[in-house]
Amino acid sequence: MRIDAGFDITVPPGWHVAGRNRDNVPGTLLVHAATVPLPRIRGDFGSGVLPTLDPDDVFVCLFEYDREAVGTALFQSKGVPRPRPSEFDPSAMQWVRPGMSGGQWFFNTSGRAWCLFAVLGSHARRQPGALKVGALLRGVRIR
Amino acid sequence: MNAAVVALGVAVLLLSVLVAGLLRSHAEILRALHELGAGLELDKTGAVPITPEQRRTASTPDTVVGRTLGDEVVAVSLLGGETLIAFLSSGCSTCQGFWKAFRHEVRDVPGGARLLVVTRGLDEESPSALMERQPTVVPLVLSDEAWDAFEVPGAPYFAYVNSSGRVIGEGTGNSWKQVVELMTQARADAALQIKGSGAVRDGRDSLALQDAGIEPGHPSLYGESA
Repeated sequence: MRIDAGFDITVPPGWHVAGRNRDNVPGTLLVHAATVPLPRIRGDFGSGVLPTLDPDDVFVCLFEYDREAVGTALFQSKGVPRPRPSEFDPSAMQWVRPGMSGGQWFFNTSGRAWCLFAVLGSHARRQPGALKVGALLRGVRIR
Repeated sequence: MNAAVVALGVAVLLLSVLVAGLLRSHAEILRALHELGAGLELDKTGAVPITPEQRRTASTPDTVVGRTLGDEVVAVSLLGGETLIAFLSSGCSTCQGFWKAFRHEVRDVPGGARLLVVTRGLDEESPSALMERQPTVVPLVLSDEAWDAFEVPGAPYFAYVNSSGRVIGEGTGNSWKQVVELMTQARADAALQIKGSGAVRDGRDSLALQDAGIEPGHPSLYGESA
C-alpha cells in the first residue's frame, strides 16, 4: 500500500493502517497501524485507539518531523528501528495505562526524520507484541 | 336497427383489440422490469442470500484499500480474523437503517467478526451525506476498488470473509436483523460443507480449520504433507 510517493507499507494479516500528511502539508506524514480498527477520531500518538487494545493487540505510530531535524542528535539513528521486547517500558507511555507498555524511537532514513511510537496491549506479553510490531515494520519502505 | 347492432359489434371488436394490445404491452413492460432487477421488494422477500458459487471471480483481495472522509489513505487486512463488509451508499433508502444501526459500536456481528463499512469513492458519493452518516467506531472506507473486486451488485450488500480471506456468505437484506440471520446461516453452512467432507468432527473444528485455510480436500486432512 502506497501512502505517499516515498512511503510504502505491506499490511500484515489482521492489521489496519491509515496515513496522511498532517494539515495536508507534504513531508509531514503521520501513519497509524493497529491490530484493532482505527477509530475515526484519534490523536497523533494514538489517543482514541489505546483504550481499545486488548492484551494481544498493538498500536504503532510513525510521525514524520521536518526534514531540518535530520541532522540533529535526536534523529541520528539510521534506518527503521526493530524494537526488542526489552525496550518496551510501561513508563514510556505518554499517559500510563495499566498493563500496557510502550516505546519511542527517533531515527532518520532517506533524508527524512521520524519518531516511531509503539504500544503493546500487555507488558507481560511484550515478547509476542514486539514480534507483531517487528512484522509491521519489516514491511515499511521509506524513500 | 341492424346497422346499430353492426356498429356496436364493430365498436366492441375494436375495444377488445385495444384492450388486448394494452395488456400485451403491459406484460412486456413488466418482463423488461423484471429482467432489469426491479421489483425486488425486500420488505416482502427479506434477506437475499447469494451463494459464493455464483461469483465470477475465484478470489477476492486480502486487503481493502481506500480512503477515509478525512482523506487518509487506509488499508484493512481481511486476513487473520473474520470480517463482515457492509457495502452501503449514502443515498439508498434501505441503507439508512444500516447507517443508523452502525452509528455506534455493533456487538452482535455473527462470529464476533469485525465490521467494516465500504462505500464508493467520492466520484459517486456525497461527502456531506457520508459525513452525516459515518459511524464513530465502525471503520468507513471509500473504495471503488473493493466494490469492483467483490462484484457488488448494489447497496446494501454484505460479504462475510473468513480469516483466510474467503467469502463464505454474501447477500442483502432490509434490516440488520436479517443480515445477522443470513450471515449466521452462512457460517453454519460453511461449517457443514467441511463436515460433509468427513474430515472433521464438529462445526467449531470446521470453522477453525477453515480459518486456517484448510478446506475440503486439503492434503493435511489425510495425513499427507501440505
